[in-house]
Amino acid sequence: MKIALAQINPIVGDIDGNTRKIISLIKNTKADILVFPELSITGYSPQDLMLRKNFIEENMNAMKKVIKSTTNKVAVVGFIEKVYENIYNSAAIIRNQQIMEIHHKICLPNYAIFDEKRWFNPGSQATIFEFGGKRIGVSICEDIWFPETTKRQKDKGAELIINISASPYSKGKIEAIENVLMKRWEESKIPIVYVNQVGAQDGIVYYGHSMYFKDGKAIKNCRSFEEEILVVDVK
Amino acid sequence: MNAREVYSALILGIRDYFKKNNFKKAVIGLSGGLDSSVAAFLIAKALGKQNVTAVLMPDIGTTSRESMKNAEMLAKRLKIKYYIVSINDFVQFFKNLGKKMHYKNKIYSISNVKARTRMMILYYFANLEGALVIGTSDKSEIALGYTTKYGDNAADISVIGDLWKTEVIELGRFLGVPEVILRKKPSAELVKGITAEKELGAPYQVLDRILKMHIEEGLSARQIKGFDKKLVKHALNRMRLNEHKRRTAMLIRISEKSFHGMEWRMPITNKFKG
Repeated sequence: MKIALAQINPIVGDIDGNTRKIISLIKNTKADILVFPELSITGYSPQDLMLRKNFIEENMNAMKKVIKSTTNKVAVVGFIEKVYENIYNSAAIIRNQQIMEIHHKICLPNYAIFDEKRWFNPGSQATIFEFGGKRIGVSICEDIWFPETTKRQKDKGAELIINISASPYSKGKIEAIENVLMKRWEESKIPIVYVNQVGAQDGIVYYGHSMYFKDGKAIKNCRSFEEEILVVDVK
Repeated sequence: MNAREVYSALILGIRDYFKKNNFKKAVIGLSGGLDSSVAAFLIAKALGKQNVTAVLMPDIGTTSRESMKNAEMLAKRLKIKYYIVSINDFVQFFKNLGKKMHYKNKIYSISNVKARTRMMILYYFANLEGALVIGTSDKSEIALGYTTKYGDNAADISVIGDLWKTEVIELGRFLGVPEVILRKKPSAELVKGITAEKELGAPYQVLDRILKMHIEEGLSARQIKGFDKKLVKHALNRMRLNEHKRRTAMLIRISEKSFHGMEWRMPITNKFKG
C-alpha cells in the first residue's frame, strides 16, 4: 500500500487555491492513500475568519468539490465541519466521491499561541476506517501528543495511524515530535504516518518534517521547512 | 541553539510573509551594529539582494565613525543598494523648537526624535520602493522595552524579535557576520558614548539569563538567584512598565465586536475576500 505524505504550504483564506492544489495532487500522485495536513482547505490558522458563516460555508463547499474529484484513491483532507451550530476541526476520509469517515479533533490545544476552544467544539470518537484489508486510525495534531486516542484506535483494531497536523516550530520542537511518536510507538507498536503543514502564517512557522514512523524510528521523512510530496510503501 | 534550524525557520517566516502578502522588497536601516547586520543577512538571503534597500542614517557628531564604516562594509559585502541620509537637520528642528521652552527632559525627548526620524526615513523609502520595513529589535530589547515606541520598534516585520541578544550573536556567527560587528559593545548611539550595558545596568549575557528565568521558566524576582537583587528588580520593572511598547494604542471597548486586541483575531495573511 502506497501512502503519499502531501506536505503542502496552504495559504490562509485562499480556499480556491488550496482546493485546486489538493484536487490536482489527488489526481496526479501515484498512491493508494493521499494525506494532507490539518485544515488544508483553509490553511492553518484562519483564526476569527471561522466566526464568519460564509467562510465556513465556502470551506464546506470546497470540501464537496474535493469529494467529487475522488476516484478509487483514498484522500485524508483537513477542513472545518459544521454540525448544527458547532464547528469541528475535522479530517475527511474520502474515496469514490463519497465520505468514508469524518474525524473530529478530540484534543483542542488552548495554550501558548493556540486558542482552538475559541472556535471549535471537541470531538469524541476515535476514528478508524478500513481500506485494502487494513484498519487505519485517523487523528489530528494534538490527538497524537497524548496516549488516549491512539490507544482507543488500537482497541478498535487499528494497524496504522494517520495523523494530520499543523504543528508550529519552536526551538527543539522537531526532536519533541519525534519523541512523541516514539512514545506512541512504544505504547501501541502501531506504525504512524504523520503529515504536518509547512510554511509560515503571520510569523508562526510550520516546520513540515512529515514522517513515516515505524519500528521505533522515522523510516522516511519529508524535509523540514519545504514543500514536499513523499510516497512511502507501508506493507 | 540549533543555528541552522533556526535560520531555516526564520528564512521561511520572512519569505512566506512577503510572498503571501504580495510583497517582494524590503527596506532596512543599517547602524553597523549586531542586530541590523544579522537582520540584513537574513533578508538578503530570504528575498534576494536585489530586493533589499539599506539606509544608513548617521547622527553626525553622535554616530561613531566605526559604526558607519561597519554599516557600509556590510552593505557592500551583501551587495545591497544603500543610501546615506543624515538625520541632523530633522533633529535640529526639534532642538530649536525646544530652545525657548523650559522642560527638564529635553535630552530624552531628542533621543526619541532621533529614533522616530529614522523611522520616517525608512517608511519614506519603503513607499518609494513599494517595500516593507524590516524591524531589527531583538527579544532582549523587546523584553526590557529598550526601544523607542514608534521609532526603532516601528516596522512591518520583526525578523529577530524572538532571539535573545546572545542568540543573535550565535546566529550572526553562523551566518558569517564579520567578527568586528559581533564583538562590538551594543549601543543605541542616541547619546554619545553611552552603551546599552551602561543604560541597562548589566551586559546582555547577564540580563538574558535573568529574563529567560522570568519569561521562560516563570520564576519570580525572589526565585531568581545568583544575581544582584537590585538588577533583577530593575529588569523585571522595566519589563512591566514597558508592556505598552509591545502593543499598538490601547483601545477602549464599548461594543461586542471591537478591534480590541483581546477580541479581534484576524489573520494578516488572509486571501478570503468574502
